[in-house]
Amino acid sequence: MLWGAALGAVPIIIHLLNKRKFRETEWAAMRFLIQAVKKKSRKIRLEQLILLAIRALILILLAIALAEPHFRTLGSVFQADAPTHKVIVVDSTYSMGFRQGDRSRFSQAQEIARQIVEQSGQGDAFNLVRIADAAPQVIVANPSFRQEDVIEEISLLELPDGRGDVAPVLERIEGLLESKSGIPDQKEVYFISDFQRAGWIPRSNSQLTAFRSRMKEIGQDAKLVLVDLGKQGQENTAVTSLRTIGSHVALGRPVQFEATVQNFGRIPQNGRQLEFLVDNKLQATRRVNLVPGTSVSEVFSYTFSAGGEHRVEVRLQGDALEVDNRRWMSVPVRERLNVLCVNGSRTGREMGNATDFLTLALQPAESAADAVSPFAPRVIASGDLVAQDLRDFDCIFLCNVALVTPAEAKLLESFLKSGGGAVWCLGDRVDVDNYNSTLYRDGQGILPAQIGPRRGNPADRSEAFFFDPGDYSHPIVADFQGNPRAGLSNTLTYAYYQLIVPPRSPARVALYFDTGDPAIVDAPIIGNEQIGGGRSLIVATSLDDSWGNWALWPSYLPMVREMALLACSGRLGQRDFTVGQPIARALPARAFDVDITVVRPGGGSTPAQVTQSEAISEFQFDDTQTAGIYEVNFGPPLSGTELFAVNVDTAESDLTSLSRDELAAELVPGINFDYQTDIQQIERSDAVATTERGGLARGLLYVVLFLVFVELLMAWQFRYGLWLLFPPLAAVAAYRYWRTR
Amino acid sequence: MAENYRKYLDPRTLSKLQGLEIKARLIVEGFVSGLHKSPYHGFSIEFAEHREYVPGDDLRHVDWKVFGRSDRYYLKQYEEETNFGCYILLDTSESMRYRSEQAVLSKLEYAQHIAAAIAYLVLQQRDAIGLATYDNSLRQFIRASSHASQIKPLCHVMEESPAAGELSMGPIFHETAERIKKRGLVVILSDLFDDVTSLMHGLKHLRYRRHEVIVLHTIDPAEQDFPFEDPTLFKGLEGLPEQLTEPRALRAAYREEFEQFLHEVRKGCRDMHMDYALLRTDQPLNVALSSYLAGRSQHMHKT
Repeated sequence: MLWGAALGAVPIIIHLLNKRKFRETEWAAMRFLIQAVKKKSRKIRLEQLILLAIRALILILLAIALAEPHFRTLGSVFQADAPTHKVIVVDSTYSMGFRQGDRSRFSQAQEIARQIVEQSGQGDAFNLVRIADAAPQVIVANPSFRQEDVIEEISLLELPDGRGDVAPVLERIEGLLESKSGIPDQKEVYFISDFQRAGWIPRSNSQLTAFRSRMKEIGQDAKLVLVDLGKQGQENTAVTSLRTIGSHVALGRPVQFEATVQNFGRIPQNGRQLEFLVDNKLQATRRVNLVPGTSVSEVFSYTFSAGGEHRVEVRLQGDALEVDNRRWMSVPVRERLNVLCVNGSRTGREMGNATDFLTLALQPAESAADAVSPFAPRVIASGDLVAQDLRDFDCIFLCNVALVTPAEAKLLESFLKSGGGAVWCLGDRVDVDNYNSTLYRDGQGILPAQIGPRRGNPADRSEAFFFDPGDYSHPIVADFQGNPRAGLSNTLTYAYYQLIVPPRSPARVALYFDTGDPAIVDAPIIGNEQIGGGRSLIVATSLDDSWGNWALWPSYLPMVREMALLACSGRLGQRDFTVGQPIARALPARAFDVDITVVRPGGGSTPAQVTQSEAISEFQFDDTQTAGIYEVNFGPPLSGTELFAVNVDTAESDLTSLSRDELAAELVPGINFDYQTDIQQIERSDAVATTERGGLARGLLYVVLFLVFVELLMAWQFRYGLWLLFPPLAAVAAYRYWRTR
Repeated sequence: MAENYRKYLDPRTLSKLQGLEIKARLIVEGFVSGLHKSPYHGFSIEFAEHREYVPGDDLRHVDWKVFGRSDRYYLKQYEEETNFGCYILLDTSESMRYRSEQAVLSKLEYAQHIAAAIAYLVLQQRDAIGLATYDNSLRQFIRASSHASQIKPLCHVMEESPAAGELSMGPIFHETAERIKKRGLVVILSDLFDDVTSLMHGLKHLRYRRHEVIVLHTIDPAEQDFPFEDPTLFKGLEGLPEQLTEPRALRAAYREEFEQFLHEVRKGCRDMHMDYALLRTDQPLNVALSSYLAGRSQHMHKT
């Protein structure tokens, strides 16, 4: 400061140099002087104007410097010192788990957030918000003035394995920015993120427009600071899917699992090890070569020798982002499937009931103990349907049932919606109008196709129809491909109903007649909100020998079993969820009082609740923020364990991030924002901020001093003053340029 | 009165000037034509007296016969060499009053000194000398006379002439050209701060009358150098307005204007075959005179 005092001598020196009293003199050569003045007058006027501007600026700056404490309380015009309301937004999507060196981006983000808080001044208020699908998104909702509390909240932040939608977070931020009394009016919003293209750019144009307008509103209310952590590594590979090939898993037969691995980066990854585990035991290892931007599928085969719940896992080794390298699947293998067979036509003769061949096919020989069938059929008469608790069954075969009452239809519908399966087998007793009106209901009901007129005559038998499996693409006929001796294509059918599959319906035709009419139609039933629905199949002909010889043919048994398995597949429940999606499961109606505990992937069990609605009781578990297998233990009377796989949404695995220009162009067009890429920069800019803090008046006075110096010099010799003015201006310009770079 | 003479006729100055001669360049018709040889062929006219040689005299005029007899150098001097008449036109306008800090004499004083010196020189040579003072009109006019006492009224008039009035040279020159009937030498002492075009017209008129014209352009050093540093209020002389300026900012432009003016004047004089010399009042008086006269003499010898 003493050096500063020395500056006081400068104006005196200049004053001595510039004795500014008016001199008067007579002058003879006036005409030349006037001429010269005329020529120079424009330049002189300009110089005078600049001089005037500098003098005015000196006064204005001086006034501001003196008024600065006042502005401080106003808090809005000058930013350096006013208390600020800071909203810190930390990206908590799983891509932030990307490790750079020994720390993840998320911990860097926490560190930066901590620094922002620590380096703030007295009177600054904070909100803490995270970008995550998991609630809560707003961690500190009421602006907190206590830095240590906020810092503690920051260090308590966890990184879930989920994704995060930015748009709802923006909505929350807007709410936080609304001015309230007691909260500083000057706002700053810090986004600390890797600015993944996949996470930040909304998928549709309308969403993008909404996003931008929201961002714009935030940008108007507050100063935006984007801290980009995504610049230093964008290489990532992930297991994007794991599924079984074929519709269902059965005991004792090989099941094929297809794992898909994708390289989201730009560098080829060769010889990456892919491991296949069943029940936490390593079963197979493959080496995969991953070309950038493409995916590779590997098929693993495994035969389950025991029933029960199995956990299947695929692991890709070595990657900076761990969480998407593993994928789980829960494979329930049921030892016994309960099948309810509703007999619609009862006759006295042997094998004369509509369900006789069916039950035989499902459970061929009770005596043969070594060939245990997974199916446990139970036959009831059509009138007994209402009396049954359908929840005990996995699927229902309705064979040649004449009429379905509205009550029965309602029962069946709720059964289907909670994951059960139904197979409608037609026959001579079926009342087509009743079926179409109660069950099909113009596509709104549970029947996958409308039943048309009957074709062929079972009594005549002169005209026969054959099955046509098409391209064998449907799972129930897939096994017949390349197996002509199984007799599917030479099965004779004498009569069938023409099924009309409505356009744009999810129903698929599994098998055709050679006439081109569908023989079997399969449709998924959309379930209740969180529970996957079951399946509904319709067979155009009868399942007994009355309308053809199919029941006697070799193709009958496998087809029936495939249909039964397919119909039961919904009952096994949806076992695969993505992170953040609640695990839900329909329970038998009597299970309203069950103790349920959920064991999370990392260990630790949580009790879960059963919710009871009018028709369905269901269990739901919301806290699925970690990927892995969730083990759900049902207490008595259900007494069982089910496994649920929760996997990450690999849309987040694409780490391609938005550059500064893209951010400016696509997310915040026309809005000014600060942009930083690492902690050092934050530190630096904050250091600058802290020196400015409390020093606005001082800074202004320095400027005033400098300008006074310039003014004096200019008045004495304009050029010198101008020269003096240029270096600081150039320095400021250079600094700004450097900052924008 | 004697002191006044001394003021104008500084002996130191004159000792350096005495031997030099002013000669008309053009053919001057003699008053008494028979007495004169052709000016192209020398000098000799009716002998008047001898004078002792002083260094600087032309050796051609040494009387070698006398030298042979007495072993001393004498110059032959002649009476009434020509009827050469010389008029000094002295500018007494207000602008001539100006004197800057650098100069000892105002422009007018300086010009008066030179005028007196020339007058004395001319009278020494028995030539006629006349004087006109003017500003925007002819103020005083003294007819040319070769009488030795002519110097007195000249000095008197010059002393009594106040520096006042605006300068308007063009009409003056026209008038003078009409009033001076006999062809002769016209010496103009002025700062020439007038419209160059009308000035040139006036000069042309003089030249048309076949006068030999010598322009002794008298300026103050400050007027050429413009050495001012501080903001200054310049009060215009000759009715020109005031001007407050920052001289530093203006210097270059002013100098350019002034040099342009000098260049125009110089060029105009050269075009009309007039002699031109720029006299700065900070130059020593004798240096100014002798440098001019030396050039003049040299010029004559060439022709």
